[in-house]
Amino acid sequence: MSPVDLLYTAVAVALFGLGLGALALSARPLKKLLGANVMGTGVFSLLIVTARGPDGATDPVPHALVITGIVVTVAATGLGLALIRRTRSASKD
Amino acid sequence: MTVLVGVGFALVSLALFAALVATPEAPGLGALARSEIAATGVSNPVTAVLLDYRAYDTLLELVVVLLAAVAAGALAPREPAPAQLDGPVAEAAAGLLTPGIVLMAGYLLWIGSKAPGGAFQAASLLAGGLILLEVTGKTPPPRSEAVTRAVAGLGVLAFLGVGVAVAAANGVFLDHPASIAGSLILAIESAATLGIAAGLLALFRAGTASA
Repeated sequence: MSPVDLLYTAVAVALFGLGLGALALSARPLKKLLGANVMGTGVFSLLIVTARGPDGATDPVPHALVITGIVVTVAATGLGLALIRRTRSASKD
Repeated sequence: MTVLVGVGFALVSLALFAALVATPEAPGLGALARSEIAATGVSNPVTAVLLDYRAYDTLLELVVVLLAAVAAGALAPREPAPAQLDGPVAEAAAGLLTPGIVLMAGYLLWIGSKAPGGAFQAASLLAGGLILLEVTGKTPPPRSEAVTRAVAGLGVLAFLGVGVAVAAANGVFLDHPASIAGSLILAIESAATLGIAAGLLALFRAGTASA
């Protein structure tokens, strides 16, 4: 691995770890949802690093996986926010 | 306790990093994806992966957006939200920016076959423009929830329709014939752009509806 790849991998793993920590340690649903988003960002960064092969050519498959992942993350986050709002208004009644 | 768990997660991350660094590099599928690209009708390898090699993934991804939008709409209160950005600056900005945003979305959709771009990028930009109109009180079409859902379903239906049509012609679902693959992909991506943008707009409306 080149130094740049090492740095990207380290940042990706750090994001994943921070997100996992927030997901596991926070009691607030919104923080958990944000934690899951940060974890996802770590995974996407890692996939982008792995897309660069040893010969320097870019593998399009991880790139396609990342864009699919981003769209699914947006949809899941929107649904998660709607669920959080609903549980909050239901617990007020 | 919290500190201990935090240290635990830091150790897990370190172990993960060590495992990733130790993993031998593999050639991946890049060479194969590039050598077969002539049969996909597009020259951008990422678009080829999304709309040809792994078209199933992309079809199901449109289904995910549609399901999330419908589910969030079912959870949301019935009352639409009032405008959240008032004032002449916000109104003028929405009026000035929206035409450019729509133009840029169309460009991203078109360029996706040969350079970075495509349905998802175009749809997120288009949805951003629609949401800008929404928050400044100029409710953009589609206005009713039912029509928004119908447009969100359009992307899935167009994709499925093309898949079934090529299955009827050459026996394999979603296996676009090389001679018309480029046009089929552009048609699917155009419908998908409108569908995803409508899905994202529906998600936004579900999130901002007032109780």
